[in-house]
Amino acid sequence: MKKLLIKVILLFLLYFNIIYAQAGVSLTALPPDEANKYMTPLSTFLGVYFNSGGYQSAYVPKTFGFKFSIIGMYMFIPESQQSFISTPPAGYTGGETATFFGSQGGVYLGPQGFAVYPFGFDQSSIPSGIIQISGSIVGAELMLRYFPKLKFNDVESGLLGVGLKYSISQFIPASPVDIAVQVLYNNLTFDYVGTVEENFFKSESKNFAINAHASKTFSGMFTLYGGLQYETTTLDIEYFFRDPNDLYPDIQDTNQKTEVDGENNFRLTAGGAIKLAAIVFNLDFNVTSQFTIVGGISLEL
Amino acid sequence: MKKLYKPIFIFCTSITFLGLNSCDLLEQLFINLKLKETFNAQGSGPDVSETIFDCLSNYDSFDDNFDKIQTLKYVAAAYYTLGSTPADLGGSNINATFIDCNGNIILEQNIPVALASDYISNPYEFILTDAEIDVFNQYLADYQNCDCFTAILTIQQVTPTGLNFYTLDGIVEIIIEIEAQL
Repeated sequence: MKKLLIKVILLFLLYFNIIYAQAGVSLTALPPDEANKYMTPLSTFLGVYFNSGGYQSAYVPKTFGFKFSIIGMYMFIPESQQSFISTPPAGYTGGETATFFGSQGGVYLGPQGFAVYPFGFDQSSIPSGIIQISGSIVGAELMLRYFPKLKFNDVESGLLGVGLKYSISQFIPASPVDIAVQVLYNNLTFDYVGTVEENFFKSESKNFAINAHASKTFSGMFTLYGGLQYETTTLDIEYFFRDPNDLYPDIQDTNQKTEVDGENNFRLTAGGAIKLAAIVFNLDFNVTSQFTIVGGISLEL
Repeated sequence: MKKLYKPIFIFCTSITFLGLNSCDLLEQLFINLKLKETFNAQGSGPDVSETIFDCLSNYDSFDDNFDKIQTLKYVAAAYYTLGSTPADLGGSNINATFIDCNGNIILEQNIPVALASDYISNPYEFILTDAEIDVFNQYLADYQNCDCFTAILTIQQVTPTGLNFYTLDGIVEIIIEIEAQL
């Protein structure tokens, strides 16, 4: 289990290291407005990612409870989020070009030569994973996702995620199902901490979600659950704009900022879980901006 | 129940570990590299030209990824004029020639010209034949042995005649697609 935990943490850091390395390389060529459009699907992805796996049942123990979960997700990036219509400077005719998850970067010829847009990752589906622990008492459950700020080469990354869930059905003794409400907040920072000015990159993904969910357990073993969630995501980015196309002399070689709102707002979740002794396996389907399948293994005490 | 346990376990662990190993998918990086050759051709005619030397390794996108490069591919190229002396400089054509370090011509284009100023803020896009693209890509494929090249820009049979000094400032841009392994 210890090895698995280390692997999860290292892969998590490596995962975001690669994602942000690519993001950093790509953004140096884009002014803030275009960078915003390029990064919107990534902001959405982070929101869908962090706001997944919040529950596998609406039941909250009235006495003490503890849960350790390893969650895997598989997210599908729709075609509409793999490209955007570029808006190069006056004199150029823009067109379809890749977002972060798209494929071909646009190349447009205009008065000052070529305006070259970055490629994307060319991904239509992305697996990912996360771990979390939860503790509950008197019908309330606190969930925690945490990686301390760790330095990896020249980047530093940290995660803090908290969730608070409260049982509503404890006040409705006749309720045939368990009902709960939950609030989630996840914050991921990823900063370049090296000394090379051109590599400057700083980001913070802020993800908020609130949901109501219900579940029904059969034979003390099988659980069906579902819920409706409202969520918002913002990705704040600050980066060095190199402007290799020499099209924006006013802001060339300066640090630029943009606030990228995710397109994830509503989510419908339906799934099932099976409890075998202290181990719970769950699987759910999430209809949201990026359709997501979530599978998890939890140790419940 | 024991019959159920195994498939459920395999299914759930598969999804979880698929997630944990997700970085395997993020293996490739594509970059559009812009070679930008700025010429300042000077002379007394009838042909005015400038020769410059450059290397792919002078470009960060190439140099930073040198060990990880999988393929290099020609995408597009164009010429545009920055200025000239006299302002109404003309000629029979503008010739752009690129030669690799083994002396082979890897790109040659003749740009029809009445006035050099026709191409100020109005680039001329090179339309290469498949055979010409193949020749350029062969040069790119040999990047480990020969990444440098000579670029020559010439305006031929300059007009108006009778002047002692002519200049042509122009740029040739070539876009190359780099596929690298992360």
